[in-house]
Amino acid sequence: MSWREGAASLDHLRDSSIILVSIEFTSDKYWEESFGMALAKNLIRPSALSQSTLLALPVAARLQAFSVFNRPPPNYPGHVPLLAIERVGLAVGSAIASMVDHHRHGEVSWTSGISR
Amino acid sequence: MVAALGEATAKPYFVDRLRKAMLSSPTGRRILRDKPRITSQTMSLEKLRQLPEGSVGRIYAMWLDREGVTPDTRDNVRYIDDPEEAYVMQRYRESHDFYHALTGLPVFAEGEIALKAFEFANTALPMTGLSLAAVVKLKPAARRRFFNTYLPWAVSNGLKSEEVINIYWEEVLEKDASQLRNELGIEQPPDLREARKAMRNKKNAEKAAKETRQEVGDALMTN
Repeated sequence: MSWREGAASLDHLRDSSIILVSIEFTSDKYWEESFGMALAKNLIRPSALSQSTLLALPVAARLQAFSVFNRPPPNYPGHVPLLAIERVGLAVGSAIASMVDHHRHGEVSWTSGISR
Repeated sequence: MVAALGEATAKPYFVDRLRKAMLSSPTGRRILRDKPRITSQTMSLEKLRQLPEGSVGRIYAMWLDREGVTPDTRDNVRYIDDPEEAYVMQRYRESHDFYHALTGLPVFAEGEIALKAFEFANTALPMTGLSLAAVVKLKPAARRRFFNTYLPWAVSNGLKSEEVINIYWEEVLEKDASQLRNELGIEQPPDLREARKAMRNKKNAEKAAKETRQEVGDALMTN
C-alpha cells in the first residue's frame, strides 16, 4: 500500500465517522422536537417520514404509521396491533380458510370421522 | 379461522355497536365491569351436571357432553385494538356455546349455520353473516331444511328477542331454561338431530321397500 492510498483510506474513515455522528445528532433532534410523543411511543420511525408528509396523512393513517418490524406495545396481554392492510389480508385469508375447513379448534379429530 | 375472521371484520362499527348495547343494559354494564371468563376452571362441569333437570347449567353441561366439546378450545382475542371491545368479542365467543345449549342446535355445519343466522340477526357481527355463505356447502336436503325452517326461525327470533350478549350466564345457571327463553323471547327450533334421524330412517325404509319390490319382481320373472 502506498502512503497516498493509506491517507485516502484514513480520510475515508474520518469522513464516514463524521457522517455517522451527524446522523445520530439529527435523528436525536427529530426524536425530541419534531414528532414528540408519537416517536416516544415507538409509533413512527424517524428515517422514512418527514413531518410534512406525516401531517398530510389522515388521522387514522397517522395513528397507524408503524411498520411490521416495529409494532407499538400491546394494549392488553396477547394483543397484536395490525396495520389496515394486514387486517384486510387477515379478513380475506381467514374467510377463504374457513370456507375450506369450517371446524372449530379441538373438534376436528372426531367430527371429521362422524358427520362428514 | 372463523375466530380470526370475526376479529378482522368486527372493527369499524360492529363491535362498537355491540359494546354500546351492553352499556345500555344494567346486566351488560355489570358484565363489562366484572369481565367474567368462561373456562372449565370458572365453570365446573361436575357441579353443572348435578343441577336440577331443565336448568340452564344442566342443559349446557349435557350439550357439551352430547357434542363432545369443552369450553377450553376458545382462542383469546388478539387483533382488536381497544381492550374493552376485545373483551366484548371474547364474551361473545365464550357465550356461543350457551347459545347452542339454549337453542339446542348441534355443532355440525347445519346447526352452526342456523345458529350463526340467529346471531347475525341478534348481534349483527359481520362474521356471523359471512358464515352463512357456507350454506352452499350443505347437502341439498339440509339446504332446503335451512331455508324452509331454520332461516325464518333465526331471523324472527334474532330480531325480536333481547340482546343475548347481555345474559350474565354465570348467574342464570340454576334458572329453568324454558323460563329464560320466555324472558328473552326465543322459541326453541325443531331438534335438528331428530329431524336428520327421521329423514335417515325414512330414506332407509324407502330403500328397503324398493329392494323388496325388486326381489319380488325378480322372483315372479324367474317363475
